[in-house]
Amino acid sequence: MESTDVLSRDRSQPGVRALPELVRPMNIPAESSPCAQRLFARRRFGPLLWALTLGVGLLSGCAKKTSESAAPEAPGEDWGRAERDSESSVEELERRLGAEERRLRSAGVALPTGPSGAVAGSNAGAPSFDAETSAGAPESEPAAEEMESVEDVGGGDRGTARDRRRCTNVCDLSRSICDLEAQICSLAERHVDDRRYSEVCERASADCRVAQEACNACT
Amino acid sequence: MNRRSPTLALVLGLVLGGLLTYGGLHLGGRLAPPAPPHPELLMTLGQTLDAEHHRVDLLLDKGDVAGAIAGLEGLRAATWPSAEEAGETVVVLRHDLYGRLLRLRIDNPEVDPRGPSELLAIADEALGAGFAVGDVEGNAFTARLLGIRGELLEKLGRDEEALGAYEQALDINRALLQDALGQGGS
Repeated sequence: MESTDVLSRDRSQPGVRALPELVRPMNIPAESSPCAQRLFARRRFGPLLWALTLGVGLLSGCAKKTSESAAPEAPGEDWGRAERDSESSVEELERRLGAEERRLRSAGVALPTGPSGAVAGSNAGAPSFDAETSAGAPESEPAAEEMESVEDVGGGDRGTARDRRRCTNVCDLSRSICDLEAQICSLAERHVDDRRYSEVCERASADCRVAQEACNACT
Repeated sequence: MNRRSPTLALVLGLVLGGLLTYGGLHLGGRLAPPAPPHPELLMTLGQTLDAEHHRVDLLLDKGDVAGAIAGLEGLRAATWPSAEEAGETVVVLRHDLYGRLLRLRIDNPEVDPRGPSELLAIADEALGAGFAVGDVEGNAFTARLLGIRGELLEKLGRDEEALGAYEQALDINRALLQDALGQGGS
């Protein structure tokens, strides 16, 4: 009651007219000036608009994250649900598992071709994806190496196994790059008059050097 | 200026909201390409190829190169699902199979002999007409196949094209190496 009195008193005092604008309730008197209405609207709804847009953006983005992170560590459970769910759920799982596989593989982890392997099998044609990475590389590595690394991962020494796989990957790539360098530079020797061959040879040599250094540093 | 402020704030809010939405969706993986309509085909193909690779390993251990080549040729002759049906990984698996088959054939020319032209035709069959490196996500199998293609072109005296194929393979391998080193650094 008292505050209402203060407001009404304030309105009658010219020197403090700006103050009530900040605390005025939503029903602005119709007699207020358009400028005052705009000012009020901006102050009142501006932050609200900002907050709304920010909220919508964040929520829509995070919604997917939340649903994805709900059970990322329980693939078996996920697969069980997938069997019950619709085909789109299977596709979603397939996509997620594929992305996870790519992430793991690029981190140097050899993936098993076992039970959840239905999808692992999608890359299973690559029993030695990391080991046989090369252009001009020899045959696929036997599955034994893969099984060994899987055991390592299962054995709890994940970091070491991952590092070892990564190093294998880097060194295989290094070998492939250097094989290509040899082929390119051999070709360049037959085309000494063509600058393009020598340029590509130089670039390949630089790549080979970097790759070898990376491999040596890794091992 | 003051009159424009609310409108400007609204527009900025919308733009910022849109950007945040895009960023959120991107981080959440919602902007990823849609899943193929028949992922089960990819699974089946992957498992079949895996089994065949293991069989070829065993045959090579026994010294049966002809059997290994025949096995891979059998899979090559099979009907493959398209990338539209089963996803882009089909292309990678295809490059894997053809790369291994061609490597075996080049390294064992006495077994079921084929000339460089025939082998080049096989490589081109794998890559498809008008192949460009950007068509497939960088991977070691495509790089290997391109390197083999370079070898075959070189044998045919088509050095300019051979250099181009080697360069393509080198570019893919360089990117893969950078990725691998980036993973180690993180």
